[in-house]
Amino acid sequence: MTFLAPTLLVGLDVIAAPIAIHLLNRRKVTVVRWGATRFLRESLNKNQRRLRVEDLILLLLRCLLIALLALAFARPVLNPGGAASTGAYGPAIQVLLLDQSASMEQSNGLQTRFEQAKAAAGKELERLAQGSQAALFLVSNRVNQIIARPTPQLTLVRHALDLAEPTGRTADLPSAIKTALETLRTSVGAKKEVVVFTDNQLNAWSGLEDVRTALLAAPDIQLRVVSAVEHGEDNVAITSLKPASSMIAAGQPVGCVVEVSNFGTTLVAATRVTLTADDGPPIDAAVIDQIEAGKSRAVQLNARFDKPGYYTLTAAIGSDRFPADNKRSLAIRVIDHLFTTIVDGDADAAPQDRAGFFLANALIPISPSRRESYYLKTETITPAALAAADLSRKNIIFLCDVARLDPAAAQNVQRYVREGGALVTFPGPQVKAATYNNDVILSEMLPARLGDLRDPGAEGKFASWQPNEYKSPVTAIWNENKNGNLGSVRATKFFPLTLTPSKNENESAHAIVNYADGSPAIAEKSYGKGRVVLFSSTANTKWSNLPIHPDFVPLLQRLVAFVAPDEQPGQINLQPGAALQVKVAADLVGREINVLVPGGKGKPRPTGKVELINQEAVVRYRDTDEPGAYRFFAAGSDRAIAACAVQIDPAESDLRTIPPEQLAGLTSKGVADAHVSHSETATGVRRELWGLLILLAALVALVEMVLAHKFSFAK
Amino acid sequence: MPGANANLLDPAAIARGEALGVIARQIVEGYRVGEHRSPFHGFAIEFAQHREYTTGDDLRHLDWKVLGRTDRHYIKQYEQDTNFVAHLLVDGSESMEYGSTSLTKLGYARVLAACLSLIILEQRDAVAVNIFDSRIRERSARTDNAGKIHEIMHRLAGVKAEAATDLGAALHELAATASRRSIVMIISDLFGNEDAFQKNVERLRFQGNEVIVFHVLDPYEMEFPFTGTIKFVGLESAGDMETSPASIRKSYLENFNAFRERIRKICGRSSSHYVLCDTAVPLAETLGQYLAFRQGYRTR
Repeated sequence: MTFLAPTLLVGLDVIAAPIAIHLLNRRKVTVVRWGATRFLRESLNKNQRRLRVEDLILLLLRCLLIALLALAFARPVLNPGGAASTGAYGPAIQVLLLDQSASMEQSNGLQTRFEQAKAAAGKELERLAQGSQAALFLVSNRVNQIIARPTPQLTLVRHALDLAEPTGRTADLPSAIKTALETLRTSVGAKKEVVVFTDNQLNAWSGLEDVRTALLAAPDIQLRVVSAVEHGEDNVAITSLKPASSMIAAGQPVGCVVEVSNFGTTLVAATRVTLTADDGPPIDAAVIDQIEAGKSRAVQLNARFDKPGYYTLTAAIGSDRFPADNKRSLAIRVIDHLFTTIVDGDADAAPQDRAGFFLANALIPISPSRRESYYLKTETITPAALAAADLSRKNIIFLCDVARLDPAAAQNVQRYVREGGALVTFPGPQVKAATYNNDVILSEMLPARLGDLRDPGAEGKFASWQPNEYKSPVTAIWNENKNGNLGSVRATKFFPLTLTPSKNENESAHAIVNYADGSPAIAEKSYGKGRVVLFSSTANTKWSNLPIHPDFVPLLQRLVAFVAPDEQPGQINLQPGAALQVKVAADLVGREINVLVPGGKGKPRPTGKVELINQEAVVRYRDTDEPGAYRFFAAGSDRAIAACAVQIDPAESDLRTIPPEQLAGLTSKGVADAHVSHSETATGVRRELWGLLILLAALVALVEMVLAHKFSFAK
Repeated sequence: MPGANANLLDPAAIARGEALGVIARQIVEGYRVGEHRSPFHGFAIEFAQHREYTTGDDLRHLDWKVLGRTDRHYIKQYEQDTNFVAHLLVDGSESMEYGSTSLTKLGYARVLAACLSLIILEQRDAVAVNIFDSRIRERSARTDNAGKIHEIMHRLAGVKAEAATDLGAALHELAATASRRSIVMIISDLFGNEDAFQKNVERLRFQGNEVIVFHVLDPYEMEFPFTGTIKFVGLESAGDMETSPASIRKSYLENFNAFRERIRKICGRSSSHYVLCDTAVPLAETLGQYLAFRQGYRTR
């Protein structure tokens, strides 16, 4: 219960009046010398106890009457649910933090946590005494200061609160609290308080120690947490949706790995997972027989697209009370062709003796009759032709045992890579380490310097690749033994690689895979807009068994996908709230764009025009708070010119709440914990009680009069 | 003249013998206007005994018939004494010290006793004044000498309320010493043992005495009009009681009226006269009413 006019509670002091009168009456004694004591004593013995009780009853009734009147004038308000409110006692300055993370969309069947939290925040505003001020911050992984400074215009705050919507983002409550404390630090006067309306999700409270420190530094500010739930809930979620390959070509099957996680405490059986493309009917489905509590299971579903372009894939499981993570979308760009050029240092040799023989076959691992329709196209040229070659349409250039690049060729390659091309270099018998290391352009481009040639094969030995703990995305899949074993790749000769340092972090070199002794076997780095990869051994079987290793083809395919110039430089799978910027065809500049958003019910809505930025046609879009698939259409066209998918952080699916004792640890700093009960949010209407109290006071007054009359009459 | 007499009951005055006598006389004279018959005739004129004449006896009381027959000189005893003896029994106990005004019950009793003494002596009857509390504290010899009235007044004026009441003991003592039938006038608030009172009144009546009970009460005792918080300091060492009188008024009055009714019944059963003496009512009025009743009683 709170009071709208708490100062009038001083009226309770008047209770002292009847007590004082009662006592004074007892004190004001007249002494009478009396003879007829016998009759007096008889009467006293008979009536004294009854009279005392009657006097006490009347005294209590009079005190109660005054108390009821004082309470009525103080305008008490009944707060359903008993939320610990302190705001009603005089003006306060509050910063209301409303958690708008994805987990707040968890529903109890009637209301979402977000709706409950909004209702509780609304009540908090209603409770504020006259003269109070409030600010409103919407909290996700960033703090959206809707009402940045405390304002006395609480109606404005209420309006902003009403307009608030949940997002698909995570929440960082400690950062928000620190921001709120900073906001309040400069406020002067009334009681200052930060009130957090949240579901107390465990992940949202990481960094609690910072909150404690910040509170210690602001002893005049109180923190109160109003939780929309009392405890966490079980949840099954799609926590990951990724393509099995980053290179998706038209006509090729697309594998999508769907990871389903069980955040509950019991085993989940028979989870059906479906895959749809562009909100169409399911194109593939699978059933995960069981997922143990706290575990994840992955399943691969397949799709296939005949035409290049942008598509969205959506994996879905059965609905539960947290629908946001029962679907997960993925935007993909299907390419038409990928052109590769193999610069073979042994181009004049017999085909099977060429340095790039195995490479060429591995890049197109299908029968010759079907090569025309394959997305990868290759051509083999000599090093001498490289200088004059038109590389503008090439995607990847492979240098295989090229002894040296003449300056014109080197400059051509350098320009090509800087503009986004990929260069993959295999050394060979013709390569001299000094030649590569001393070449100004090559040494600048290559991710590593070549050491002196090692020849363990001369001693009947070899250098093996590391068998596990792969860190590069190219080789990460071999961390699972079921995908093969790169540890059986052996080199009898190789150039030890020394990664070249770089001042630019974006261009720093990394090892894709190491030898067992830890020295790099393959190194890569970004260069300009492109990427350069350097192998330490040959692309044929002269120095290494890699070309005949079972994992050569997949390794090469993954490498191609990794290094292939991304003609779609913009990120199209986004975190909620991240801005989309994606290149489109140049002829679309100025065209109106319609966007089909998640939950858009098939009706695209206008969202601006294709812009010209840095001489490129670009679609930009910022309103990506809602998870799901977004597709963009040029006005008058039903073919998507761009797409993106917004994916919520898998951590939001873990609905466990922070243990109360962790928050209680802050209680000494004035942290109160309260729950917004379900009943409160469903029916929580603030009720003023003064009318009832006045009625009670009248009733008490009536009873007092009747009893007083009765007692007097009896006397 | 009751109204005029009311002013005479000044506490300071009735504490002095001379003044008390004057007051009593004025009251009695007021009553006697047009009145020549004693209201107390009736008992003592009957023959009592003979005794031999001795020198100094009044020859008027000589029984001439006996002298003529026997030539012996006998005196008829009754003719030699007063008409009757009135024993005034005045309550001098501490409870009589109460008075809601400056006139206490004891003061009222003094004046009443003085008036009665004056009336009795002036009609040449004998009176004996006894002051009692737990016993008969002061006893004056009976006298029919009107000249003794001043002595009686002084005695009455000097009464001090001191001890507790034991009316039964006082009556018992009186009954033991009263040698002949007489009129016993009890002037008291009767705050004593009612059983003892009843027993001794009946004894007095059995002995042939007429008993008149003047029940002296203060109006506050009969109406109990106190308000606020009162600390009642009990007279006669009855202890203190602090209470709100309004809260117990009803109960008190029930008890007190029941007490008065019991006294009245005791008197009625023993054929004694009961006279309520409200100290708020002028004494002359109370006395006049009773004496008028007495006159009528005698003539019936």
